Amino acid sequence: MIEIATPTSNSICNIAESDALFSELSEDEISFYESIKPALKNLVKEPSTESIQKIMAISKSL
Amino acid sequence: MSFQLTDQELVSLYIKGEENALSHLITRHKSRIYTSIYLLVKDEFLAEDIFQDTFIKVIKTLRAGRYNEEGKFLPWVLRIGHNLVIDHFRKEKRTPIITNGDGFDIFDVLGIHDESIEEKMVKEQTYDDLKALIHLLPSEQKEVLIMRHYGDLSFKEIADLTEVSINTALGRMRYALNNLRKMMTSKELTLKS
Repeated sequence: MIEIATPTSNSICNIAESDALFSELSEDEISFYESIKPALKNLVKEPSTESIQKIMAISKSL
Repeated sequence: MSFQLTDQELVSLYIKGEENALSHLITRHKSRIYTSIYLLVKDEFLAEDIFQDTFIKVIKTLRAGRYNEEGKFLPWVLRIGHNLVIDHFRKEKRTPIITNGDGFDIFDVLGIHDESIEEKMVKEQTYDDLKALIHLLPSEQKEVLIMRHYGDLSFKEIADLTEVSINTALGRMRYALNNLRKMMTSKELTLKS
């Protein structure tokens, strides 16, 4: 894979503009992404209740 | 306390001493944050540890008054989690970052892992198929895909977090999608719905 050579400054871009760039993906690429979204959604995992309880306990102790 | 409070309002309440505000923030964002960490480290127990460490850093920064109120909460937390993942791999002397100076060919990776991935796919027959393919992506492509899809970060936020240009972040997303498609086609995989 050839790394894309691009300037590193983001100062001229705002979030809206950067998301507009996503529309520059081809229809084919966007269509593929949409097709795998349901499967990606099924990969969502939840942290354990114990982890959250531990975090809250630490917060209360500080 | 209403879940309709914005992240910023909940952060302000927490800083003023309202512990429930932190609980609401965690509830609101835990899936995105934990999933992003888990898909990077591929280990549930490790992901739990890093998830906890992430929020411990969040708590300490908020209590120390060092949180930038102009920033968005979720990207900030994801950045902390991402950095902790990187720290872990550096500590373990394994780096998820693969330098691609001489080019990367997805079929080289498929060739090396072909047999083991085939066995896993046949055995599990679940959405783990896609998860396995995601894990085969070069780390920087996997990062962008995870941060975009699960973290819901903009490409600017991803670029800032990974310290590359927006165009590079977008390019990595394109490569990630195209490589996933190549792998799925090569392995004749179809995702079960």
